Amino acid sequence: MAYPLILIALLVSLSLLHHSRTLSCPSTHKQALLHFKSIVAPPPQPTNDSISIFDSWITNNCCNWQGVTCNLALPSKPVTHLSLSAVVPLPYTAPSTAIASLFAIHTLRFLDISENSLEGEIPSPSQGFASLVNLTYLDLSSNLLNGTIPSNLFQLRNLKQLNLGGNSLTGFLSSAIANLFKLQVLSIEDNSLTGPIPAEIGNLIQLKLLSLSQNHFSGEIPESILRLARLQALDLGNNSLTSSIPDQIGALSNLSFLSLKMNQLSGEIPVSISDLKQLQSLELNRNSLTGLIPSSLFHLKMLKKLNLGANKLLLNHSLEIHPRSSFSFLSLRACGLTGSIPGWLSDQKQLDFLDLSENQLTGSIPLWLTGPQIGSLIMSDNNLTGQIPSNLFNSRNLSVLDLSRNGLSGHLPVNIGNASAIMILLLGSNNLSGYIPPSITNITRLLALDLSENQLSGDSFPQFRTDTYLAYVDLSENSFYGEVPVGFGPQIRSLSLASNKFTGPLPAKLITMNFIENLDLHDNYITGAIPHWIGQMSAIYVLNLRDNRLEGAVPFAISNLSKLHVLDLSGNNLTGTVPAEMGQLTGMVDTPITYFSISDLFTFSLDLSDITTYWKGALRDLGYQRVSTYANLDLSRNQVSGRIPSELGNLKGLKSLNMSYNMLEGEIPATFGLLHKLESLDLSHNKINGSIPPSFGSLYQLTTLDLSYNRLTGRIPVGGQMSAMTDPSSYANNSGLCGFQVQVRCEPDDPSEVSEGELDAQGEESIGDHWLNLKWGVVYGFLLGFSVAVVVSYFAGFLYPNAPKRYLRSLR
Amino acid sequence: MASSSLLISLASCLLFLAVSPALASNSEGEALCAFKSRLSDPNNVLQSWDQSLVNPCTWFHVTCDSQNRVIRLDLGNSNITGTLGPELGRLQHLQYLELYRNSFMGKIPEELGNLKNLVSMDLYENQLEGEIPKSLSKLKSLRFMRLNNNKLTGSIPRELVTLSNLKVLDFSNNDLCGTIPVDGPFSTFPPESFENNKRLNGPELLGLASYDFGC
Repeated sequence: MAYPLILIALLVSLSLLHHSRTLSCPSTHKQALLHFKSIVAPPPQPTNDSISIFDSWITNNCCNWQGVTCNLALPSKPVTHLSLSAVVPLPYTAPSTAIASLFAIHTLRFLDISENSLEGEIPSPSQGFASLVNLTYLDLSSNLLNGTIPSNLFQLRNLKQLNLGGNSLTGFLSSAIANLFKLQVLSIEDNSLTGPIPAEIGNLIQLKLLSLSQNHFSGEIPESILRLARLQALDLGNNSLTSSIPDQIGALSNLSFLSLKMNQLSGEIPVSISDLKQLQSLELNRNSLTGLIPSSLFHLKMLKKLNLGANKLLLNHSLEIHPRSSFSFLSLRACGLTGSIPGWLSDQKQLDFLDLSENQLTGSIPLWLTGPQIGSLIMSDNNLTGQIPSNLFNSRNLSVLDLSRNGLSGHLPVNIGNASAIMILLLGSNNLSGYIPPSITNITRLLALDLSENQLSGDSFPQFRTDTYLAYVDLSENSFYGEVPVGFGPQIRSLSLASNKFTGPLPAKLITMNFIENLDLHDNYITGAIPHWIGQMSAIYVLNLRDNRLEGAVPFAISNLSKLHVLDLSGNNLTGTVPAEMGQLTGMVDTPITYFSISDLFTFSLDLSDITTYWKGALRDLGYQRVSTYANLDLSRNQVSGRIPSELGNLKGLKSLNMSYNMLEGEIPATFGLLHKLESLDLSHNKINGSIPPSFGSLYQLTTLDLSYNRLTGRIPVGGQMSAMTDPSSYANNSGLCGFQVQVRCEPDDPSEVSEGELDAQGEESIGDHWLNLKWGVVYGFLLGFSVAVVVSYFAGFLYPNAPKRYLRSLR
Repeated sequence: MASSSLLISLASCLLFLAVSPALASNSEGEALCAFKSRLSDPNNVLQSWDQSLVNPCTWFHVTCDSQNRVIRLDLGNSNITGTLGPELGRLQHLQYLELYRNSFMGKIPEELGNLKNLVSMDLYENQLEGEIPKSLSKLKSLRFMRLNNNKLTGSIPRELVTLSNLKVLDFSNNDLCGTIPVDGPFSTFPPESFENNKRLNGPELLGLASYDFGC
C-alpha cells in the first residue's frame, strides 16, 4: 500500500527539484533531516532494488532532496515543506521520536509524515510542536502513534489543516483545540479518544471538514457545533454519542456530507435536516432514532446517498413519496416498511445500492427492480413471495443479490449464469425447489453462494472451473443426494453440505481444497472410515462430521490438523480407542485464532452461516465470526472404547469436551484438571470407574458437568467451580459418589478424601473446606454466659426433590 | 485503563440495544448487558458477550437451558470490580449465581429476591456491604447461600428461616450483628457458618431476647 504513495511523493518532489539554486539549505535543517533519516530509514537490503526517497538525501543542499522544499526567495533558503508520507516502507516501523528531530526546522509550514508506521507517543520535548510556529499543515495520520495528544500541539495557532487520523491516540480531546482557530480541516478519525466532544470545538468557525469518527467519544453532540457554518463535511460516526441530533442541524447549510452513523443517538430526525440543500450523503444508520422519516428528506435534490438502516424509524405509508433526490445508495433497512416494495423506487434510475432488508415487505419482486443499473440488491428478512424474476440475472452490473429469509418459491432461473458479475448470491431460507442450473458456473466472479434451507434437490452438481474465486458455499438443509460433491474450485474456504441426503464415503478429492477452513457435512448418510488423508487438510479449523454413518477408528493422523479447534465426530459408528495423538491438536491448545472472514470484504453486514454444534447440552449456532474463540471436541454417541488418554489434558484451550455415550473405561485422567478454560465437560454414559480426580478443583471455568451413568466412586472434589457444580443430576447413576454436591456424606476414612494441603497446592482455597471440617455436635459458648447446643443434623433426610433431568436438545 | 474498558463495554451494550430492535424480547441478554456495563473487567472474561447475538446462550460464563433461558451465571474468580444491580433480578430462570471471589462492592440488591428459581447464590469473598435483604426469603428453591467474607452489616433477616430447602449457608467473616435464628434450616447450620462476625451474639432465645439484640 505504501509504495504507490512513495511514487506520488517522489513525483511531487521531482517537480519541486527545479527550484534549487546555488546556495544550500541551512545546516541546522540539513542536520535535522539527516537525524530524522537515521531514525526512520530501514536497514539497507542488498537484494531490495526498490527506490527510497532517501537515496537522494546525499547531496550537500537539502533543498534538492526529494520531499524537501525550501523557500528559495529567502537568502537562507529555509526548509518550509516536508512531504515525507510513506517513507518508511512496510513492514518496517520506526520510533515516533523521529518526529522530534524535525522540531529544529522552525520555518516549517507544511509537514506530512503520514503512513510511516511511526510507533510510540507523539514526542513532546519542552516546546515540542509549539516550536513550529509557522506550521499551517500537519499530517500525522496512519501511523502507530499512541498516548494522548500533547498540549503543545494546541499552540500551533497558524494551523489550517490537522490530520491525526488512523492512530491509537487515547484520552480526552482537550478544549484547548479551540486555540487552533484558523483550522479548516480537523481529522482525528480512527483513534481511541474517549470522553465528550468539547463544546469549544464550536469556536473553530473556519472549519470545512470535521471528522471525529471511529473513536469512543461519548455524551451529547455539542450544540456549539451549529456555529460551524462553513462546514461541508461532518463525520461523528462510529462513536458512543447519546442524546439526540441537534434540532437546528439545518443551520449547517453548507453541509454536503453528514455521518452520525453507529452511535446511540435517540429521538427523532430533526425536520430542519431538510434545510441542508447541499447534502449529498446522509448516514444515520445504526442508531436508536425513532419516529417518522421526514418525507422532506426525499426532496433534497443533491442527495445521492441515504442510509437510515437499523434504527427504529418508520416510513409513513400514507404519504405519497415523489422523491426529487436521485439516489445511488439507499438503505431503508429495518424502517418498518410494509406492503409491497414501494413503487416510487421505480423512478430511481441511478440506484446502484438498495437495501430494504429487515422490513415486512410482501408481494413479489417487481420487474422494474430488475433493471440493468442496480449493483447491489439486498432484500433479506422480508415476506416476499413468488418466483425470483429471471430478468434479474440478465444484468451485467449485479454484484450482490441477497434475498435470504423470504418466502420465495419456484425454481432458480436457468439463466442465472448470465449475471456474470455476481460476487455474493444469497438465497437461503426460502422455498426454492428444483435443481441448481448448470449455468451458475458461468458466474466467474462468484465468491459466496448460499442456497441453504430450501427444497433444492438433485444428485449432479455443477462443476465450477478451477479458476473460480468461490470461497464460501452453503447448500445445507436441502434435499440433495448422491455422492458428496467436491467441484467448488481450489479457493473454497467454507463448505457446508449439512442436512442433506448425501451417501457414500468421504471423497478423496476433498484434499484438493487447500484453503478450506470450515467443512461441515453433518447430518448426512456418509459411510466408510474417516480416511488417513484427512490429516492433509491442513488449513481446516472446523470439521463437523456429526450424525453420519462413519465407522472404524478415529485416525491418529487427525492430529496433523494443527489449526483444528472445533471437531465434531458425534453420532457416528466410530469404534476403537481415542488416539493419544489427539493431545497434539495444537489448535485446541491455544485459542483464539483469527482467520479469513469473507464478510470482512464487504461494507454491509453479511450474515453468513451458522456453525452449529452442541454447546452446553444444546445445539447452538456458534457463528462464523465467533467460532474462532471456541475449542470444542465432541466424540459423543459412538462406540469408542478403552481408556481416555491422559494426553487430552494438553488441550488447554478446550472450552467443551464431550465423550458421552461411548464405551470408555478406566479412570478420568488427572490431567483433565489442567483444562482451565473448559466450560462444559460431558463424560456421561460410559463405563468410567475410579474417583473424580481432585484436580477438578482447578477447573475454574466449568459451568456444565455431566458424569452421570458411569461407575465412579469416592468423594466429589471441592474447590472453585466444583463447589458450584451442585446439580445432583451431574453425578447420578454412579457407583457410590459422595460429597456435599449430592448431599451424601463421605465416610471419614474414605481413601479418596482430598486433604486441605492438596487443595492449597493447587492454589485454590475451598469453600467446601467449611463443609469438610464440620465439627459434629459442637457445643458453642456464647457471650451471654449460657450456651445452646446446636446439633448439626446436616444430612437429615434430604433428597433432592427434582428428578435428574437431561437437557432437551433443540435449536435456538 | 479500567475506566476506558468500562466505557467500551457500556458502548457495546448500548449498541446492542440500538442495533437490534428485533431483539427487544431478549430481556435476559439486555439484563446481562446492563450488568456488564457496571463492571470493570481487566481480564476480559466478558469479551465474548457479543450483544448482536440473538440470545446470550453462547456467551462464555453464561449457561442456558434448552429453551434459551439463562440458568447459570458463572463469574467466580474473575478479577471483576463493580456493583450488583437490580437488573440481575430480571434473570427470572437463573438457578446459579456464582460471583464469588471478585471485588463486587455496594449492596446486595433486593431484586435478587425475584430469582425464584435460584438454587445457589455464591457471593462469597467480595466487598459487599449493607444488609442482607429480607427479600432473599422469597428464594424458595435456594439450597446454597454463601455470602461469607464480605462486609455485610445488620442482622440476619428472620424471614430466612422459611427457606426450607437451604442446605448450606455461610455468613462467616462479615460484620453482622444480633442473634442467629434457630428455626427452620438454621437448626442445621454449623457455628462455622457464622464465625468472625464480631457483633453476632449467638442463637436467639425465643421469647427471651429480641432477635436484634446487640445490633
